[in-house]
Amino acid sequence: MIHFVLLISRQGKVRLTKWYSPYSQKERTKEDNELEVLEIIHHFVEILDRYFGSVCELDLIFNFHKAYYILDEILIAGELQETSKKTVARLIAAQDSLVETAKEEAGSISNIIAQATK
Amino acid sequence: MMAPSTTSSIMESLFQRTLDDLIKTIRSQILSEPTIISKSISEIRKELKSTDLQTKSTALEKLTYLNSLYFIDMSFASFHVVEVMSSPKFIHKRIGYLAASQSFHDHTDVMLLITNQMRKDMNSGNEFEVSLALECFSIIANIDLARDLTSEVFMLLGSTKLYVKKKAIGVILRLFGRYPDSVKVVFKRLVENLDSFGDQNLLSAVIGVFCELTTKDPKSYLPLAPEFYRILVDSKNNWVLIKVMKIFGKLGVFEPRLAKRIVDPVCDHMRRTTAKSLMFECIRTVVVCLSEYEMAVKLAVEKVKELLNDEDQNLKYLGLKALSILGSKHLWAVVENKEAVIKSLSDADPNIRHESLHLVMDMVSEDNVSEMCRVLVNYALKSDPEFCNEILGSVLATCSRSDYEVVVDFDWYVSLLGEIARNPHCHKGEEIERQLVDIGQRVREARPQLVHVARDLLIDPALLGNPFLHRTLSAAAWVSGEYVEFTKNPFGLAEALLQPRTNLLPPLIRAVYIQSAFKVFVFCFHSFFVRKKTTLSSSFNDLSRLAKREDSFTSFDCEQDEVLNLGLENRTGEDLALENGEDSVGQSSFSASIQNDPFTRESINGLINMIKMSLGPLSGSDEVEVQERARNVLGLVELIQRETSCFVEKEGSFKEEELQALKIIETMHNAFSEEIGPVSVTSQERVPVPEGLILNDNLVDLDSICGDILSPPSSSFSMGNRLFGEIDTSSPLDLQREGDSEQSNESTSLLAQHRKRHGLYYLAAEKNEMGSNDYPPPNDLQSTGNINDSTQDLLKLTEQSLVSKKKANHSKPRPVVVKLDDGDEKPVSDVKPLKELEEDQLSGAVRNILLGEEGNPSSSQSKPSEKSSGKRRVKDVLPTSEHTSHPRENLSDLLPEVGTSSRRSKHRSHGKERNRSPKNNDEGNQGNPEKDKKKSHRHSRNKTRQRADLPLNVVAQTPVIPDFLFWDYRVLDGYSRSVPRWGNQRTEGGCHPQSAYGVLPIESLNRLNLES
Repeated sequence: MIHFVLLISRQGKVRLTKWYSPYSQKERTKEDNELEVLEIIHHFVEILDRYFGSVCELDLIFNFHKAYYILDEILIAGELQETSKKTVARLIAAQDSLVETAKEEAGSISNIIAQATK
Repeated sequence: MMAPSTTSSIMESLFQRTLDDLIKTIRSQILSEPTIISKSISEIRKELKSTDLQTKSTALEKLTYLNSLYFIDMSFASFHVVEVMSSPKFIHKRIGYLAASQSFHDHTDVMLLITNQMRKDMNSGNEFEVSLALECFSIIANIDLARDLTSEVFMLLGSTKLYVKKKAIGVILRLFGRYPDSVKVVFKRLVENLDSFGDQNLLSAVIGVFCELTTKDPKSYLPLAPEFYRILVDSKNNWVLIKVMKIFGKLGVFEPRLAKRIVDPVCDHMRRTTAKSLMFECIRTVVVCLSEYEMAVKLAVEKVKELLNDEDQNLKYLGLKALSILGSKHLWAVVENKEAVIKSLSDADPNIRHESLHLVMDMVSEDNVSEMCRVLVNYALKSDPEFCNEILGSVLATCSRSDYEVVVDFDWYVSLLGEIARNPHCHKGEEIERQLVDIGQRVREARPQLVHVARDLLIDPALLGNPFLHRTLSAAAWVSGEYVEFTKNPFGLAEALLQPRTNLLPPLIRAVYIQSAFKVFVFCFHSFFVRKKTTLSSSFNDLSRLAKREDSFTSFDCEQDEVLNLGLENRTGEDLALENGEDSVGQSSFSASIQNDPFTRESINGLINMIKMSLGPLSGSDEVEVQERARNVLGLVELIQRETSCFVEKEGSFKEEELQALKIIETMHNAFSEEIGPVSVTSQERVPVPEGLILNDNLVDLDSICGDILSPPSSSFSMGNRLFGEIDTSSPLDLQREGDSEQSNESTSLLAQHRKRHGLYYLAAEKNEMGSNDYPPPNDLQSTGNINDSTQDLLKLTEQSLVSKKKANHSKPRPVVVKLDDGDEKPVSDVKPLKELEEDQLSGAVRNILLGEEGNPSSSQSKPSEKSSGKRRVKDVLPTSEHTSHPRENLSDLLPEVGTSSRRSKHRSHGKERNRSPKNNDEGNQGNPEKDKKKSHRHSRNKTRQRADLPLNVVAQTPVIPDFLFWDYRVLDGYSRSVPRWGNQRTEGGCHPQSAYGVLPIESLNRLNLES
């Protein structure tokens, strides 16, 4: 399984940290299929690419939470859960639309007035 | 009218800094990062207290950002996290869950508060809310949360929404890990999902869970092998195949017959697939559990070759890695790919170089060791310092492996050690030190060459400048003192040891030099006496046994001329010039006289003068260690000189004083002539504890009294073995010792040793920096830029050496290497690893379900007929003994479906089986007809046995088991034992008598019935 995900920029800045389980010294020697992990990383990057449209570091800086949400759709408990890029895109879009409608509601003037005069 | 609090909340939400604002501020770098962060933290603290959820969640989002990227502690906000999580709005909830999964851990105190919220969200109609809860659960669940939400997860496993079901499967690993009892509840549904070929993601999730479970405890999952096999054969999804192969890699180790079954499908995949990751997994499976099958291994090696020749660095690395795993069993695979391996030695990637070096070392054998080492040591000269040391380190490690197994010609090896030490980048001084001393002790035949090499090392000016080699020099000095009798030129050795440049060395090592010089002196003087005695044919009975010693130097008499000439050239050339020209008359006469007989009066006089001259200044040294040694030596030399003054003056027979001197010399010579051998690591344990000594006495009080006196013992001083050698009387090195020395000699020798040891123990050495500047730098063997060329050479050279030809020049038989036969190996501790203990609970639960195993001895005893109930596939849920105390309602509450199934009668279950479509069974059995045949055999046997046993059991059980349990038990007993086990898994116990609310293993029964 994947024990953690760290996304670090070329300058050495940490851009994303996600821990699935504590990682003991002993487990470090454990053999895993490196190529498979590489492909999972690739998968993640491709999905990010698709979502942000050729993703760059700034996208991840300003949308760090979205990167997390996307990662949550790809991995669960350190295992790959969704292999289809299209599905992930669809799921994220669905959640985004949920959020957008909520935002619009909250942002409308009538809502503010309603809140103020509560 | 607006209430003041509302106003403030609006103001807050209108003028609150958003996440974007925060990020922009941090990036703008108007203020320093810590300032901005601490400012925003105090802002966030205020905003978190807001009553407005929007404000609160934005604040939390900012805090999460700071926590995950700037590692700011956010535990203070944990209660607010719970508040935001329980917001009815998805937009807030999402932020809350993200914050929780980033910041909560097992001991977060608000954990208890989120149980209900998570339960509510898991039951939500919105699949995204369920997903949020599950994701978060998979990361933060602790034992309480896992226990309380087991039923929710169970329910979600049966969800019709694939999206939810898939995530529910994903969290199972965490659930099992935290709350092993949950296995009883959800395992069955998990296993059912192995059939879900409809959705690859579901299958992938299930296999992922099993892959992890199998890694932790492979044996428990053997019964599921047929399911895994089906997936291995049928699945087209690479992700799934990789995981399944991993599972088989683990299972195959325990079940050799399984390996036989999977070899074909694995090879098929290996041939067919274009995905490198899958191919790599196939190779690994072959390496791990199919290494018996030649065809598979050959195919794997072929594929490895493809990887090795790939442009991609990653693939090349993995190819080497695979090869190194293969190499342990199939060395031919490595040899076949040697070209690629050796080429990789010069790769730009250090990891690749490292791997290939390992492989090259694996290929080293008795026949090619000298050539390989020569090539590698030469190659090391041209490599960068880091890799150079890696090469040297592995050469040293390989050659010394299991007591120099591969080394036949020790003269060669000792010279190689010298050569390695001369490498300007060499940092392996300590290892060389260890081996020099070790070989000296273990291999008698190597000693002459060893002393020769030691002397060369001592007089090499380049080595003194490399601080990493000081330890090697100390070993060289020790060797030349200890084995001085093997040298052809003891005076040369003395000069090397006393050369003025030794002031570049740290004091501890100079002390070794001084001690060794003294040993050489004693040897020379003693030899001189013996010689004189023989020429005068005087009769000294005490000396008669020293004739033995003569053997060693009669041999050099014939060669002495040329050797001594060489030694003298050396000496007069460089060393004497440095000695201030003082006493030049004595020196020149000394060297002249040596030409004929090394041990003349002149030569001895010259030696004495040399010692006095070089050690004289040291008696005032401010390094106490050096000072003490120098004074000791000077004192003894003085003493001897005084006693022999008259005799040195004139030739003639022995006088009274000379006899005195002779005795002194002899005593000292005896002190040094006892041989030092290797010591077994267990030798100390074999020393009996003296009576009356209480080892467990508490000595804590002592600490306070002499705490400041006790200094930490120096960790590695490898030459002080003499004392232990004395104790270890049972070791074979006794055989090598020369005759038993007299009591007085023994005690003096012990005293001398003690002094030596003691002296070296109680001082912390400081590096002697002085004079290191004016010393010539080590030979700058410039690293040639043309590494490619050298690789070609390397390739060519190893080409020849790798051909497993027998080396022609095995003229010399391999000398004896002293080994301690009583087990140098370390004592094996039989303490159970901690991790295993942790896993016990989980694997126990799984085993209960899959194998019907039961640890309770009473139950297995009472039901001997159930031995065979380790079933192939049992989908029932068996409670363990600790579970019987639980109130029944509770469990059936959790598992409504399971509750009813427990009341199914045996009869009904059989009826149901027959209704199953036969197509299914055929499909499942296709793959393994042979196995199934066995099963049906067993099946029929079981049936007959069952008939006979059943009434007996009932009688036996009646008094023990409560009524309501007994009823259930009978029901279950009826079928549980009619199911044969799969494979040769032997289960100790039987099915638990209280296996009450199990679900019938319909499918497996069904299959079997059809067969029989």
